[in-house]
Amino acid sequence: MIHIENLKKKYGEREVVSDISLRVRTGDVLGFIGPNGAGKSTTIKMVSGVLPVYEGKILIDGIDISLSPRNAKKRIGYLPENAPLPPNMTVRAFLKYVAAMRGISFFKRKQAVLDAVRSCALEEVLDQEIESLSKGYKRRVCFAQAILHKPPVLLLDEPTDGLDPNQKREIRNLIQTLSKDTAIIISTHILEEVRSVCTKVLLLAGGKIVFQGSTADFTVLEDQLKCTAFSFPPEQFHTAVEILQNTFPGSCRLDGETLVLPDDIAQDPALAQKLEEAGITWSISNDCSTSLDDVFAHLTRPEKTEKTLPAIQTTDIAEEGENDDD
Amino acid sequence: MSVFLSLTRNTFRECLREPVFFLILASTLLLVLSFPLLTFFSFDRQIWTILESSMAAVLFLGFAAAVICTNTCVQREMKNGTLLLLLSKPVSRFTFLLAKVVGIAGCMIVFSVICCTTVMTVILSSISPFLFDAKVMLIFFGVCILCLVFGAARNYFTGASFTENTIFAMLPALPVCYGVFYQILQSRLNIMDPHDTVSLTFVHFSEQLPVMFLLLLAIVLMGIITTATALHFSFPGNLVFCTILFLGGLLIGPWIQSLFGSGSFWGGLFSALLPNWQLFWMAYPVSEGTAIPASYVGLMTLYVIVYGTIWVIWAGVTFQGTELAKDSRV
Repeated sequence: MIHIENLKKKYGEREVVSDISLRVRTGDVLGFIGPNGAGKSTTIKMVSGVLPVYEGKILIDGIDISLSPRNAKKRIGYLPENAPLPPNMTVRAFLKYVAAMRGISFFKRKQAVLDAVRSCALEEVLDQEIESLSKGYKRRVCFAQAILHKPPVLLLDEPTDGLDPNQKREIRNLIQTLSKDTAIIISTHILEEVRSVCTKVLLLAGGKIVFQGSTADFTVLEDQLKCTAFSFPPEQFHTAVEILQNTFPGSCRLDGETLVLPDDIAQDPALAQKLEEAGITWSISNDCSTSLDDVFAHLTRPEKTEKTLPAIQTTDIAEEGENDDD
Repeated sequence: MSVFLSLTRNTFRECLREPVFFLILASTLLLVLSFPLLTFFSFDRQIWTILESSMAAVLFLGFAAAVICTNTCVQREMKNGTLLLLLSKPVSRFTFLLAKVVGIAGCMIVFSVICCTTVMTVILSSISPFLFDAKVMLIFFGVCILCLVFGAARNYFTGASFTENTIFAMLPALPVCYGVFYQILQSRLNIMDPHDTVSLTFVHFSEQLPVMFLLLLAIVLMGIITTATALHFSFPGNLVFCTILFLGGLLIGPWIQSLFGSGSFWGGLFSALLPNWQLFWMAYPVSEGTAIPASYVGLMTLYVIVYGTIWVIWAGVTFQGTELAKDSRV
C-alpha cells in the first residue's frame, strides 16, 4: 500500500509539488493526471525513491522511504517516463541484470525473467539487443523489469506513451491483471486510459491537487460541466477563434464549425467585449456535448488551481483510504 | 554483495564494449609498436628514448580512455535516464558509486596490462642502437591481428561484442607472447659469445615490472578521479577539469621544487595534493639498469589507495545530495 502525507517538493524557490496526500491500497489503480509540468513525474520519482523527499512522508507498505529507502524500494516496481534502457544489452541480459539488482537469488533469476518475459510477451526478442527494438517492445521490456520481482507496489510513468492502439490495449490488460494484488499508480495524460484502467483519479495542476476521487466521480463531471457552443459567420470564424484562444488559452475546443467553451467563460463579459471590439457577430447554443477533455481543461485552467471548485465535489483519497483501513 | 558485484561487472563490460575505448587502446598499441623505429635515431640511448615515448603515449591515452569510460558508464547513464532506473532498485548511491569506480578501475587495469605488455615487448625487441628485432615485432603484431580476427569471428557468428572479445583475447595472448619472447631472447643471450653481447641490451623482467606497475597505478588513479568527478560534471566539463588536473599533476613537481626547494616538507605536501605523475615516471632508472626499490612501489601503492579513497569519499558525500532527475525541472 502507498500512503503519502503532505508531500512537497521545491526546486529553488519554486514549489513544484504542494501538499499532496493520498492512499492507494492493493487492488487500486490510481490515475495520476495533469498537464505537462504539473508535478506528476516529480511525485512518482519521489515515491520511487529516486528523488529525495523534500517535505512530507511517503510510506510503502508501512515503510518510510526516507528512513529505510532500500527496504521500501524492494517493494516497488518502477517504469520511468520514456522507458530508458541500456542500448547495448540484450533483453535477456538486461532482465537478468535487473534481477541481480533486485537481489533475486541466482537460482531463481531464470524463472523470474521467464515469468516477466511471458507476461509482457517478449519471447520473440529475448536475445535481441535493446537498441534494435521498436518503441513498443522497449516499453514492454521496461515494464518487464518493473514487474520482475512481483512487487506489491507499481509506479508507471506514462506506460502507454508512444504505443500503437493494439499495444496500448495489451499493456492496459496487463495492468488490470496485475492490479488484483498490487497497488498501482499510473501517471498519464491520456484520459481514455483513466477511464479504462483506473479505479481512482488524482488530478494535479501547478503542483496542487485540483481533483481527487473515484473514476466514477471523475466521469460524472462530464455531465456536470455545462458548455456553450459559439457559431460565427464563416468569414469571421478564424479571427474569432484566434481572439478567444488568445484570451482564454486552453479552454476552447473546436467542434466542426463551432467553438465550445465552458459556461463560466462563455458568460464572462470580457468575451463579449473582445468579440464586439473586433466587430464579430455570433450566436450561441447550449446543446453541445462535453467530454473528459473539457473537464480536464476546465479543472487545470491556471486560475482554477488558485481557487476552490464550487461546482465540483471532490473526495479526499487520503481520508477515504484512512477510513477504509480503520 | 551480489548487487555490488553485478553492478561492477556490468560497468566493466560496458567499458570494454565501448568502441571509442577500443579505438584508443588500438591507437596506443599502434603508436607503441611503431616506437622501435626510434632506435635508428637514439644512438646508445634507445631504451630510455623508447621507454619515455611509450610511457608518455600510454599515460596520455590512458587518461583519454579513463574519461571516455566514465562518459559511457556514468554520464551517459545520467543523461539517458538509466541511472534513475537503477537507483529505483534497492541500490544505495554509495554502492552505485563504488561499483562504478571499481568497474572503471578494472577496465583501466586491462588497458594498462595490454599496453604495458606491449611496451615491455618493444623494449625487449630494441636489442641494440640502430637495430631492433623485427621478427619479434612482426610476430607480436601478428598476434594482435589474430585477436582482432577472433573478436570479429565471435561477433559474426554469435553476435557478441567485437571490442569486448578482442580485448579478452588480447589479455592472455599478449602477456604469453611476451613471456615466450623473453625466454627465447634470454636463452639466446646466454648462449652468445660474451664478446658479442657487449653492444646488445637486454632489460630483465624484474627491472621492467615495477616501472610498468607504477604506470598502471597512475592510470588506475586517473580512472578513479575521472569517475568521482563525472558525477558532478557533464562530459566536456569533466574532460576540461580532468585535463587541468592531469597537466597540473605533470607540472606540479618542478614548480613546487622551484617554490619550496627540494626536500621541503611543505613542498612534498603540496605536490601530493595534485596527483604528481612524475612520481609514477620511472623510465630513467630502467634505462640505466637501476632497480626500483620495492619499498618505493609499496609507498606509491599506498598513495594511490589513500588518494583514490579521498576522491571516492568526496564523491560519495557530494553525490548523496545531487539532484538526478533534472528533467523534472520545468
